[in-house]
Amino acid sequence: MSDQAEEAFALFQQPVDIAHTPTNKGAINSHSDCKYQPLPAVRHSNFGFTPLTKLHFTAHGADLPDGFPDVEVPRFLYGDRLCWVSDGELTDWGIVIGRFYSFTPHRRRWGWCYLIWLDPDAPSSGWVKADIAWEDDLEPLATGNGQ
Amino acid sequence: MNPRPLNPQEQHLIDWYSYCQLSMTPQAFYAKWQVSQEEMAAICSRSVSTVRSWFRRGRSYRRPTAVDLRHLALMDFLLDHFQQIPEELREVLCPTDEEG
Repeated sequence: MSDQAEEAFALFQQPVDIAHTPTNKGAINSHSDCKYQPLPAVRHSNFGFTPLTKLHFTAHGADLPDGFPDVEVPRFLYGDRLCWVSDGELTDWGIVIGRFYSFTPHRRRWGWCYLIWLDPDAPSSGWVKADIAWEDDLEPLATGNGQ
Repeated sequence: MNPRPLNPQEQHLIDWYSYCQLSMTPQAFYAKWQVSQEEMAAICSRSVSTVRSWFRRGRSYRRPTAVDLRHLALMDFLLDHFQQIPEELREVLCPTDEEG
């Protein structure tokens, strides 16, 4: 596996949302149980630590839409050069190397999320090779922007 | 080389870790430690564009992932307790990259 592919694989482990994340317990105890299960009771925590269940939507986003894969067509294609939508600050940009369909918390529905291989000149390229972003947070890189 | 079987205590440790809800929000981390959003992005292996979205309000706000929250909680734990960790364990936890 190439470095780029390994990075991409590692990042695909990230976009977990508590709403559709199988518990590790299930993974340990069952090879066949792929259904998502509710988390066990949340441990009360110290200052600054917030239980994950308070931060993510539950239940209604857990199930893959019945119509999948007949869902909305992705706006962007592999190889597209995109940047993060910005409020005016310097933003990151790169090239689409992957995408996946997942529950989008801010839209409360499922949607496309993209894996972006950062341009070497992007602000964050000093510490990370790739990142993920929701479709509505990305836009085509304007000609002359970035490089 | 075959993987070593787990004893009951080690199996319990895996269960305990699997259920561990250790997490810290970006807002709590930012309030507690004087770090930049770039440093927070490096801690979480995310782009600074993503981190900025965690601090926006309204429709532009985006939720961090569970992995991001775990990264911040572990960093917070290390900042609070690093001096209590024996040096040889620190090296195991975060090996010094001598090849640079």
